Amino acid sequence: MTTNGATRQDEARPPPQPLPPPLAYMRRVLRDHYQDHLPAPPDRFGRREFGFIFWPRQPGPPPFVRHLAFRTRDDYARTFMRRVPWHAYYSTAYYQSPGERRMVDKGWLGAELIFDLDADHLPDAKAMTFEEQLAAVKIEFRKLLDEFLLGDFGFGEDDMYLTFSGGRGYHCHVTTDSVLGLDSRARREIVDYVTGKGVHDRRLIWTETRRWRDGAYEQETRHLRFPKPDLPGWSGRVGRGVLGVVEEVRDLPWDEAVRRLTQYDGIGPAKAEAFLDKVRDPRVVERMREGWADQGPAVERFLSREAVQRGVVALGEGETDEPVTADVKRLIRLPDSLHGKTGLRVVRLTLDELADFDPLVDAVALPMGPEDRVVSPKGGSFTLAGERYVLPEGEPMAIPRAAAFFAVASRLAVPAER
Amino acid sequence: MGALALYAKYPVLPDARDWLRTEGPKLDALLTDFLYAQARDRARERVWSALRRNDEEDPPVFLSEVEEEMELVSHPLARMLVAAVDEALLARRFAVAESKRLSKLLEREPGETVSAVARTFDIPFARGGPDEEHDFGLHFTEYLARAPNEKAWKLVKRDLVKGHVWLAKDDFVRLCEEVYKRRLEDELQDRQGQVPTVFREVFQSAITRLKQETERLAAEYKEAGFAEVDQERFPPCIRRILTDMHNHVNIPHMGRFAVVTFLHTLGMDADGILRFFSSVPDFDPEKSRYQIEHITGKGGPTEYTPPGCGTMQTYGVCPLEERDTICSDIKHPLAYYRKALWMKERNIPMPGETKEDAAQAKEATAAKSGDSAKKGETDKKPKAKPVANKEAAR
Repeated sequence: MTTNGATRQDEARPPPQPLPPPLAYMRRVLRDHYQDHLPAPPDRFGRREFGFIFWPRQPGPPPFVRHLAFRTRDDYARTFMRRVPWHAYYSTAYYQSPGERRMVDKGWLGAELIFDLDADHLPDAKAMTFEEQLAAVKIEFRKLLDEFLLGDFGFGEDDMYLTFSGGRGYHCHVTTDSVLGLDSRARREIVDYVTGKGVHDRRLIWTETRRWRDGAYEQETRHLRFPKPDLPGWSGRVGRGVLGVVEEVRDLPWDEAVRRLTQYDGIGPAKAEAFLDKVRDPRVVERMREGWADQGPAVERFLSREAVQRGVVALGEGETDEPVTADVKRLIRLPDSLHGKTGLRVVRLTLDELADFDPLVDAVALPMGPEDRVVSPKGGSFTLAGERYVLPEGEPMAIPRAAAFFAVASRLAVPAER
Repeated sequence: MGALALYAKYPVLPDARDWLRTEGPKLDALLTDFLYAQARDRARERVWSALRRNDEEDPPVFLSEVEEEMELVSHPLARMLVAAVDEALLARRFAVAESKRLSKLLEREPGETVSAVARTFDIPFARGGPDEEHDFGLHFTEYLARAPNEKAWKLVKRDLVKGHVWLAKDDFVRLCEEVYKRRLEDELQDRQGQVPTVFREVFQSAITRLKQETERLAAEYKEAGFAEVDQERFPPCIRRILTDMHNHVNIPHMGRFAVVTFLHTLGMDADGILRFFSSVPDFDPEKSRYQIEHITGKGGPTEYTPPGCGTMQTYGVCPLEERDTICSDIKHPLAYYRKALWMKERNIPMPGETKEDAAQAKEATAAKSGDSAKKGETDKKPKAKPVANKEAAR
């Protein structure tokens, strides 16, 4: 280790107290696991900063030690095994001297472009179970990859690597040379593109007035115009979104569709029903594929809001309300380490593997063989590795180690006294 | 069009530089030969009009090869003159003027000429976009590195095609202008003060007068009335934070820090800032006093300065949607304010204003400053009023 304020700080503190039983249990399990499964040092290893959350030896939050750098793989392995981090992170940035404490002294060389999707950022995460959250965030992650990174941004699969975060999300690192030098402002522009911030200013949906003569009479019709679905970028995305919304409300039961439409300002029951009448006609939808619809401004607003909403990705924000992507000095979970609040492994994934990946099965890294006794003060249940575990209130129970760790780490249970 | 006519318009082209090196007059002749008196005059004119921001000037029309040559050789002379004066403000204005001249000329050119100039600036681009109009393509990372810092240039305003942004010619020319501006400013910055003695002798009086005028402008610019606070001229970021405060929106720490340091730098002391905030609903003067005094240096070891645009953006305090054309020229909220005041002084309309608005704004200030005793009140009034009305309505 080249610098380590932590060791010095530790020595200045009062003598360490023994860890509370749940922490002591977790530390022991992690140590046993890392003995045989030390996370491989990441690429450009000597240029990365590491940050570890260690175990709280006195009251208060656990110590988060940053600015760690390792000269050799042995140094890295020794620190890892001696201190057994609760959570392990490394920098997506490369530095001249990653161990320096001050950013100016580190000498920033570049940073991977990262996207951090977490179930927390989904609009209705609170109402979901853990399993549902994981499924929903995976769909969102797929959208980010297929629509934006592989689509609009034109990256190839080789330009990026994906991980399951071990918690409730997925990370994508774009590592191709062209992005490494992007500054924070440029990254924020990418975030805005992906989250659709500012798309509404583009007037991708507008109303066109057409005048024509019908014999002696001057006629006027108003048409809603929107981009054709096969156009590139946000134009096409909004076009596809409009069709998607139209098909969605068309297929809803009538009353529900009316309710959905009348939530918008300016759309009353009459307007909603007129709209629904129209879109049930297959010829109208056919015409809409060409970017035509005969609707008023209220419906226009409805369509554009909903169309954009369907296109955007719910990107996470960090502690400073700043999207993680725009932070060029970010620490992120170390692949192959275990998430300290679940015991699930930070798993590297290819696109193919992502398709069938089930975190609650495939990221289980701790052994299912040995059993540990835990007790849940309030009772509770969870699913892991295809098994449903029900912990009765206050009753000690022996369950496989992976499940026991999960229960203890997520504060559902504590180790039972023997 | 002969080659010289092209070079006269675009002295940055490699061929033009070659011509100057091989066929052009030697420096000696350029500086002393009466044949080049016209070029020397033109060089002075180029620099003076840049300093005065006289960008209304029409692009030159050349009647003969001699005029073309004079225009071409005046470019290196003008650059030397800027280097001799050795003032950052002049270098910046010269870079702005020359890059605007370039884009004005380039807008009328066919695609090939635009391409040739863009190649000179090392812009990695491709031709042949998804449709006829959008003919110039860049990888989005190259686009982001060069795009002007303006709302219209946000990436989300463009449709990405396999990682590429396709621009219409006019937009691509604007991008070239931006690149030329930055490049020229950097080049001038590197050469400041480095000029042969004989050049100094020939241009002695121009150098002296330009230096005096630049210093005068710089001083004026700097002083531009930081004593009195003019909220109308605050940058969008500070205006947004103040509006949010009035609307009970929770302000991130960096935002509060930015406002307090901003007002402090304008010359307000802790009491003044407290008074300024007192019209904010939910405002707790005692809680805020400590924070404000800490930031302004009273009761703390350091006096802080407001964060620059980069930091504001990193912390998400810069309202990117509300940036205007002034924002694209500055890198610091204080610079915005300084420039906005300067524009008011000269009746130049602010972004989104008409000329009449600008004239009225100036009159209004003139009336205000005549009544200096009420200065403190005028700061608060426009903010306090709408809030009071709202409460009365409830």
